[in-house]
Amino acid sequence: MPLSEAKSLLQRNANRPATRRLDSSEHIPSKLNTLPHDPGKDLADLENLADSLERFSPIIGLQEVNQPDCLLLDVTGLDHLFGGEDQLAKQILQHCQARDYVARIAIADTPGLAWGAARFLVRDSTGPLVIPVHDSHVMPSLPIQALRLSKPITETLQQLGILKIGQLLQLPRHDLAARFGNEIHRRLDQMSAVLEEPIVARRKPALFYAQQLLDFPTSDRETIEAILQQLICRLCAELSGRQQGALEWTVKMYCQNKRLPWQFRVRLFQPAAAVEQIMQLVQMQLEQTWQSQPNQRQPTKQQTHYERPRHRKRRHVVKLLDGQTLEINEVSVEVTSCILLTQQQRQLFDERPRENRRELAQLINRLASRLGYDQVVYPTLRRQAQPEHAFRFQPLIDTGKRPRSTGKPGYLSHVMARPLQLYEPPIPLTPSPVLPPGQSPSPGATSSPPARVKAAGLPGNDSHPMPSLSNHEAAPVKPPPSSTEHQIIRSWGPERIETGWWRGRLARRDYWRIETKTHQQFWIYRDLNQGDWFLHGAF
Amino acid sequence: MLTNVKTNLESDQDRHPELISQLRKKIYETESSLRNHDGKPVSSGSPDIDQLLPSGGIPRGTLAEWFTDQSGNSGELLSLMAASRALSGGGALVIADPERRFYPPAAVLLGIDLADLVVLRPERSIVSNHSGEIGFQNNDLFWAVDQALRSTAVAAVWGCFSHIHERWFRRFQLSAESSGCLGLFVRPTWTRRQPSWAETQWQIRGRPSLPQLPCRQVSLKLLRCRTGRSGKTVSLNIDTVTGNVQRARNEKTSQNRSQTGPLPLAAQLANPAIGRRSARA
Repeated sequence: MPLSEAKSLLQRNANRPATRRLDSSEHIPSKLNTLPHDPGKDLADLENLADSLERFSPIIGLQEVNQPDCLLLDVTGLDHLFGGEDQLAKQILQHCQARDYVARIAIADTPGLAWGAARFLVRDSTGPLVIPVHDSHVMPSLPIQALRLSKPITETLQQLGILKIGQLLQLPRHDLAARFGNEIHRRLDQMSAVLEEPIVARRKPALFYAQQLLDFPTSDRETIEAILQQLICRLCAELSGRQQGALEWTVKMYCQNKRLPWQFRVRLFQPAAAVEQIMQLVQMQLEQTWQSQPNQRQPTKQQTHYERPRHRKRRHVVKLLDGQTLEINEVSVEVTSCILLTQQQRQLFDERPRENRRELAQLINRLASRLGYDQVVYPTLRRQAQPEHAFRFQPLIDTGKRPRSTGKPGYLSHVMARPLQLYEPPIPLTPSPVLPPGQSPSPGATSSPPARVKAAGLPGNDSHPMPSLSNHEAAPVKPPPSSTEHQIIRSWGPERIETGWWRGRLARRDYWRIETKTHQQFWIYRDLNQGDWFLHGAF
Repeated sequence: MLTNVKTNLESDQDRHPELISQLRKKIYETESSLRNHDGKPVSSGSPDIDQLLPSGGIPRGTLAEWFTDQSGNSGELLSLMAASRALSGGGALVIADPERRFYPPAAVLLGIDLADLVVLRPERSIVSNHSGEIGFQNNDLFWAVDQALRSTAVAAVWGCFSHIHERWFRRFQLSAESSGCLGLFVRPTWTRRQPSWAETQWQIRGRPSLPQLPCRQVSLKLLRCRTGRSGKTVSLNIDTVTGNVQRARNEKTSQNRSQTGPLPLAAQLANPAIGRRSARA
């Protein structure tokens, strides 16, 4: 959320504690916790909200932009289930408010009109807005920003004094097309239902589905696992019959004491239809989210310890990590993504005996299930000169494809041009003004590495503690406990990197490989914009 | 009593060096025959380092450790060179990167194909122990390393670890033996006294670079080598342009008395090969 919106929100809701993130260091009330803006987390939260809204609509799509902040629900023909469109909108609003979201909701004939109305007509105090069917008065009153046009076209129209859609509708369409292309026509037609704009469902419909209803709710873990195994067996048989392998499984458990199902997903690196493999991954997911405790019942007065059966089986009650007991009365398993299985015959005389893709895929599945899908990654190189942008880690499970060999970066001439360890973010260095004895400041000394540098707050010192160096006879220095001082005895460089202007700030750096008195080699740079020194890597 | 036995052994070793070396070789062959590997050791990246090892390289199905005093001492470089050689027989290279410092472009420059990499970057959950120190919970990471070492589709597992609990270390050894995978760990020197089940241990120390040549110098000492002679030291020149590692010209091999690497009693007892033999007997 932009800080400006957050501040206005805080002013409006002064009594409510803020739960959203702020992305700036401007002055804000001291009660708030500020965190750096994380678009990925925002998207994940929005997707979670979309999942929870599935009880109102089977088709929920995200706004198709880079950083969506809007959900589109197809509620066609569903209003009578909730007592009308007004009641439906109110229930959705209450649902969002219960999750600490401030939502603006509008129901209209088209997604475009609903989006524009929710953004520009709905206020927090007015509540949800339901535009009647075939109402032609709302659309002309909306500002042109409600058309979701590109920024240059919107700015040009504003410069021409066209601020409302009504003004735009009065202009001849062929003139608009000649000046701005088809974008305005397309958006106007979508908003007025002349051109259909389908809502792209975020969640794909289940390709294979199996469910089990229970006569009596249960919280016994063994029972639930047995049911899951049966369902997975059934689906794997169906998949094998069609020679297909699943890439994504969704397990849902409907509880008696909860309105929304408790669910999780199992994603695979390569398609599979083996029951044991899927069941192993499902059990790993269960172990991470369930705390399984033996159900220890107190013995009754008549039933003493020695009277009880000695080999009685202990029941394991399913509880979530937050302590909630799950009374499950329905279990369903869905396959939401699958592709055709390919069989590959191994060679009799294999020159690369460890090239076992199937076992590697199983290993990646296990690792990702335990550590998390975004923590088992593979690197790819990018054509960027700025070191921290020269690579990218991508989850292995998401793509399902192994990266191709990328070869050597062309701009690097020798093997030790880059360090094997990169400190991110770079560690600020404090250059010492004291030069070694017998050395005088040389012309252009500002661009050469200093004689000594002090690294403050080196991360992860427990694994590689750096020594505290104060061997200089002329000026013994006692660095603070959190900083270490290094005396530089040799340096190679500079390698100048000037790039990144398109990211908003030109990076101008002079990189040096330095050797310290303890014969450690580091990669440091001087920020030419500010003149500060940073430690960026270790060789 | 122990002193007398030790003195007798040393005198026997001096009298019958060939016999001792033959016996050592036979013991090594018997132990290594239980490992799941193709028999070819992995080159460490330099013939000058390989010749310090009895099998001419690092045996597959074992663990190797590189100890460094500080960061920036080429420990990562030399261990990753061995990892890149291990990939020649196919398989993946699993990088355990708990500190999130691994820099892939540098690995590419060492000849590692990024298509073979699986990088583990677990989320660090901060925990504080009873003394108030803040550390990171590594159980998930160690579990992942163990799984990777157990897989026959993985050629090598590489990682920088400070503390490895001996129970985990023992698991690593068993997993590596069962699959033939190679475990390569870079660790700080202060962890040398901790129990270890590594078959090969190296100590790396930085040396002053040569001002005229594009080389950096390091000193490599073989701390432990099962059935081999430990204590040998070699000075190496690492060519910063080509990456070649070779013995320094002015290097004089350490003439210190070499002896068979002593193993901690726990490590000897825990040797799975010995355990299996005694179970059959």
